[in-house]
Amino acid sequence: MQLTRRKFLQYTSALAGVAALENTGLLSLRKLSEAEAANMRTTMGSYKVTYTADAFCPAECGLEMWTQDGVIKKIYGNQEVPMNDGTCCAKGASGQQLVYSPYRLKHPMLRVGARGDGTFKRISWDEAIDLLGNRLTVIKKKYGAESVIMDCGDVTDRDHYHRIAHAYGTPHTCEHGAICDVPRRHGPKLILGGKRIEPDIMTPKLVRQPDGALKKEYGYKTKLIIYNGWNPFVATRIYYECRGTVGAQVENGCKVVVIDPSLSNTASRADQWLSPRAGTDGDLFAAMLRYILENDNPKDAGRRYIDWEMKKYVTGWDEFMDTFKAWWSKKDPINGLNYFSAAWAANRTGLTEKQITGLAHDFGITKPAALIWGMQSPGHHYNGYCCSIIGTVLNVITGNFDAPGGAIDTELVKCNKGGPASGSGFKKRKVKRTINGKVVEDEMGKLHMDNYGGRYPAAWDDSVADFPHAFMHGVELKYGPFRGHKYPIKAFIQRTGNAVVTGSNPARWIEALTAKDASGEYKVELSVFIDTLNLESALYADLILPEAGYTERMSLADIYPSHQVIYNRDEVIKPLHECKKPFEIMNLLAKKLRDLGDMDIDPKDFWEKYRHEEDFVDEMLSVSPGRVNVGTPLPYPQYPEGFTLVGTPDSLESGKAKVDEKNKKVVGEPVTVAWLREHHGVAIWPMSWKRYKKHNADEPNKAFPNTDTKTIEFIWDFEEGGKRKGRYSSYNKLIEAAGNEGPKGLADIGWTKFPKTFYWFETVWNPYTNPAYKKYAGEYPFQLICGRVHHAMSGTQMVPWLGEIKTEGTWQPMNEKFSCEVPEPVVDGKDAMQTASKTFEKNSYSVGTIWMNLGDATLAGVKNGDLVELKTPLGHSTRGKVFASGGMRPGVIKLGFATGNRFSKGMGAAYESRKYTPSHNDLMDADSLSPITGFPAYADMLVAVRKV
Amino acid sequence: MTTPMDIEEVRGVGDLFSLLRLIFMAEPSKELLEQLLKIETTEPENDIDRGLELMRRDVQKNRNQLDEYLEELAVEFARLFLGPQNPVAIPFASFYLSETRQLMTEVTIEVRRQYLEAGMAVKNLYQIPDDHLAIELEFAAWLADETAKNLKKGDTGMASESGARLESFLQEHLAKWLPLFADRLSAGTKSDFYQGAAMALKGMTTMYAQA
Amino acid sequence: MPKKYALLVDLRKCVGCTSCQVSCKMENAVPLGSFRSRVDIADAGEYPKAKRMFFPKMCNQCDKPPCIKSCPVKGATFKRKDGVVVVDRRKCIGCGRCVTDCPYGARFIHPNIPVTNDPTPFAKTVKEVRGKKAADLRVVDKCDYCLHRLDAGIEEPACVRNCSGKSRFFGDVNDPKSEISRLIAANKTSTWSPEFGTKPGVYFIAPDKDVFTAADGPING
Repeated sequence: MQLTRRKFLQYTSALAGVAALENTGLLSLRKLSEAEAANMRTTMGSYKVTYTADAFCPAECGLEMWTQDGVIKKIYGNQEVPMNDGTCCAKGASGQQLVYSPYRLKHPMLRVGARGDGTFKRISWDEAIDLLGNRLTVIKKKYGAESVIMDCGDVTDRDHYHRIAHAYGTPHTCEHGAICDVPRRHGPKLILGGKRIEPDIMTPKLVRQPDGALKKEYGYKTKLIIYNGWNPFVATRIYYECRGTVGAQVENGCKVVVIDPSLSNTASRADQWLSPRAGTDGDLFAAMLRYILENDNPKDAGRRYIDWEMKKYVTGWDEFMDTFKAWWSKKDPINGLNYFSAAWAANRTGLTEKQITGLAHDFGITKPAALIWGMQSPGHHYNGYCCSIIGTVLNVITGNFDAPGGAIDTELVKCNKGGPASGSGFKKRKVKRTINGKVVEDEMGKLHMDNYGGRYPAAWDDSVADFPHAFMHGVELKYGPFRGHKYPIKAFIQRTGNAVVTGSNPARWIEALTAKDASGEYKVELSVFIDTLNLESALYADLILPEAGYTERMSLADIYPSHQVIYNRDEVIKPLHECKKPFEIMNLLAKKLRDLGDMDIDPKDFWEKYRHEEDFVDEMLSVSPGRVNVGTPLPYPQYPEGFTLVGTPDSLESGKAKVDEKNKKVVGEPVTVAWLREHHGVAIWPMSWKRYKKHNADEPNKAFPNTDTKTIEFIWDFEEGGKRKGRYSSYNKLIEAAGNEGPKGLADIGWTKFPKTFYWFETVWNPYTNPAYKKYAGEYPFQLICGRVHHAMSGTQMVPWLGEIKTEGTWQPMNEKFSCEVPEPVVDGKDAMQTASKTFEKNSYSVGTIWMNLGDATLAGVKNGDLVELKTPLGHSTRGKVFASGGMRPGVIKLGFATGNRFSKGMGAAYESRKYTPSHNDLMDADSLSPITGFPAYADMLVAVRKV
Repeated sequence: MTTPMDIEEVRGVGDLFSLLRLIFMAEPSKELLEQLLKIETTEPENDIDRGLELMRRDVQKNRNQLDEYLEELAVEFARLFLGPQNPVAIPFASFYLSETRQLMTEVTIEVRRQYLEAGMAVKNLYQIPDDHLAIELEFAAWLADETAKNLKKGDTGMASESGARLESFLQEHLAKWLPLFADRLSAGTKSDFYQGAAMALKGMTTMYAQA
Repeated sequence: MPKKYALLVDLRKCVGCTSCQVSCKMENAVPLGSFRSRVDIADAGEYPKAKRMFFPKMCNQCDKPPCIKSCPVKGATFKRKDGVVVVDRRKCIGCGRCVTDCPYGARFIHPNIPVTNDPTPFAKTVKEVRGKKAADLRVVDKCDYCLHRLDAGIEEPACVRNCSGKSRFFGDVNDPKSEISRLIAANKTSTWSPEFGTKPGVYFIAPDKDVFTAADGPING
């Protein structure tokens, strides 16, 4: 080393004054004691295994992560978790590339420029919390706490945020459920009080044996699975369906039918692929139901479709069937055919009558079977409710509901968690509002903008797509005690969501988040973004808070198994950079609000109650498993049937549990994080079937399912024993109390109140089923559908390993030639590697693509890789490259969700390719919110294709 | 060290590293800017001089509107090094030296090992990747300071140990990625302040970190 | 009888998730653009008879491996007694002949691991390394059934452990009671392009033989 003194002499003294170590001291490093250093020397390099749960995708598989020196090195499936039984998908295995992405959010940031221009500066956590607390305090005083929305886009680990929001005083907390396949879940919700029907193919299942012992069972019983618009192999929300579907096929001869306009990966493994027109799933199901009702013959083994025993467990059978059958004699204006006949369905779906009746017959005759419909279809159509309701009914009447090998409503049987931790109890708090000069006092929860607003009161999962309307025009409550109360939305806190891209048409969101009032202030005064990744919504935030990633925090996964299973999301590594855990953010904000004088925040509800992150999780577990002791074989024969079970599997098994006759509860030792850690991270309680009936008698046990009558309800507004019951009854009561003034959503289809039983209405933007759209068919000849591409969601697009994978026709190696810096070997002998500029050849990296039928493409004069523009009758357009194959129904075009036009930097290659990748949501009709819950009709649109 | 060490020289190097550490650790403070004004190089001879001079002049130019200038620098600092949009010059060694371009790679752990060998560790271990530019510069500054202290005490053994550590850290590690970092920085900023910082950093590497 | 490790993929259960490909990258730090294990995906046929095929590919651990024959350095690549074909990074001089000679494209030059064996003694006969120093060259890499896991007593490569469809089976084919032996006995199995004459040792249960021709690109390439 050559030190040339002369060069320094000029400014040495100045330098010393500025910055010398002796003046400023060590800021980032510290001197280790001998003991510390010795300890570190011996432990460095050794592996540690932690059992945790994924949250890179909503399947939340149980994972086994190996860390070395505080760094995640290996990721495998946890072999004790039946959701994934030791396996782990490509996305799960690539987790390190997200956790250690240099582009993740690292510091609290404050917006400096205008919303949308992306200029920020760093602030400290103290400043950030101070700012947030002060703004929230002012907003609460000025407009009321209900002016604040806490949108926890991601379902996982949201309870901390819900708790602080509820304690602060707003009822507006929502999550991903609000923007994902709400119509799909509607049928199970109405009929069973459930949500998500899945085939009984999760293995292993822990089952009580005749000798009283518990055993893991691996076999399959299912003989037929029909997946309608459901693609578990790619959109792996219910991960066990990856191995279970093919397992049942190979090991049990199960037939698999996939109904999808596109040859999805799941369809490609099916025994039969049926590709109907888009948005006609309900038509197919309705025709199946009619066929089964008309052709069922209990005396003919070849026509014994209906399990008439079922009627014992169903309330409202006759009302439903009468209403359904009343349609049969009516003629459909679009084709002049009788509703729900096979000919009618053939005309609308584009399938043949034989295919339709054949499917109905197969489903009726094959037992056990499961009829499943997914997010890629009824889930995202304007009228998906009808399909979901009929699908649920079909599973029930054929005797497949909760039968061994049949169809299980996983929502009803998954482990209960959360309990008081989410703070929903705060919604009962009494608040006063002055309405037209009159002071009204009632429960805070009744200030809810959807449930008591005039637009979509049955939006059980909130109507996030309708938020822009509330941002622009404010809220006016139409129902409930606060009828007439008006308030603006002044703060939008978004945590791990990306509503600007996913909540509806992005243009609508951007308009609402940048709209200003007369004084030049943003209408939504405060926009906050809390996440680990920098997504488009962050561009429209005033404050960005970096949240600890999924390997850096603690919580639980309960997902959608066939019976109660719960497992730890354990802290695998410390939060990186300046990221904070949801738990810390909750307590910091609570303390700040309290310091600023908010007496609604009680220390005993926050930092005094939860001193450690684990305390919070333990409280969430305090209600687990929280399900009733029902079904055959009875999970715990030693305890009364129908009693709610609480406590660890071993305490319940060994009889270390108290039977509380009064509350009908069996309470063992509470499940805790510590208990889970000692048991491979997971707790599993026994499986049973036919959980709606007594285990030793053919009658309802009146403990399951989760409806008002605890029976299967085919009617949703009825009286029994002088009481109004059914899922829609509370909304109808509100409407009646408001002088029969119906909500906006129902008015859109000419209704005032919610129907008492079966209903039918047409979808939008479909020229084959809705006469109003026939005129567009010529100029816009393609139906546009969308589907999740597992390997191509926001976080995933930042992971290069997944860019090396292609998926179906919507995620293909069709990049333009681009240059970027990558590590390359340096051949000068000194280093293993250096960063160098490398050119990626055309078509070597996967990007979002436009999938269409090969024949259609040929007719349109386009071929694979051509850039085309898709345009809608509303004038929206997007661009992308064509992938043409035989695996697509002619007349249909499919895009992935959020796989194109990603305009936030920080999205890796996705940002680079934004100009030639298609955005599905840019094309959607932001005003098509479905009537029942205000859910956006993502999958209803028509497009024209033009080569550019 | 390959040449006999002079206590003043080592101090000078250490102080320079210490200064650069402050520049890359956080948005500049008023105090730092005021001190920078005092560093005057009448005849800039190399990139270190030129870089510091560029910074000084930029501060000088803005001294009458210091608050606005501080805000400007804070925004620029975030854009360059922090995010939330893709930072222009990610300040972690592993980004430049690891195949995966991730953080907390083998490169990071190797740096951690070097700190440990010198009896040091990052204060927020496991949270802040050990190979952050400012931390590495602090390590270099500390090694220089140790060397100088030992020289002053007359403990040449200790001095040459820390001196050798410094030399190896500069040549085997910093030299490999600082030029890449500095190039990205100077290509990505219009701010004279950070142009100067990039230049000084690169000059430092050229002069003291080449084998 | 000594152990002989083999892999079987039941293509009836492969759901095309590519977990094997990514799990392998995670386990073995395989660089971008190179593959020890990879899933080839092919779309074929016209509507409505279209089909999609998934073909997971990895080193066949051949019984007559042409790659070993082509290696100029004794012991740089060899077949172990348990059937695994491995590269000894300490001996490999990175000439790349085995990469060229593997008809499956199962081998690649690892861009980031320099050769340590001095190539100069081989310069006369191996023109590929002539005039080059060890540090100028990179070693060859390939699937070795996660040898480090085998050596640690974990008889399950990462791709088998994580396989979403549970379509991959690994074990000792010399043990008739092993799961893989039972599957081979009970099913008709195929190998990938046996016509190469390499005696490939990875088994497939493949009812649709088109998969071998439709998705026939080399693993690296």
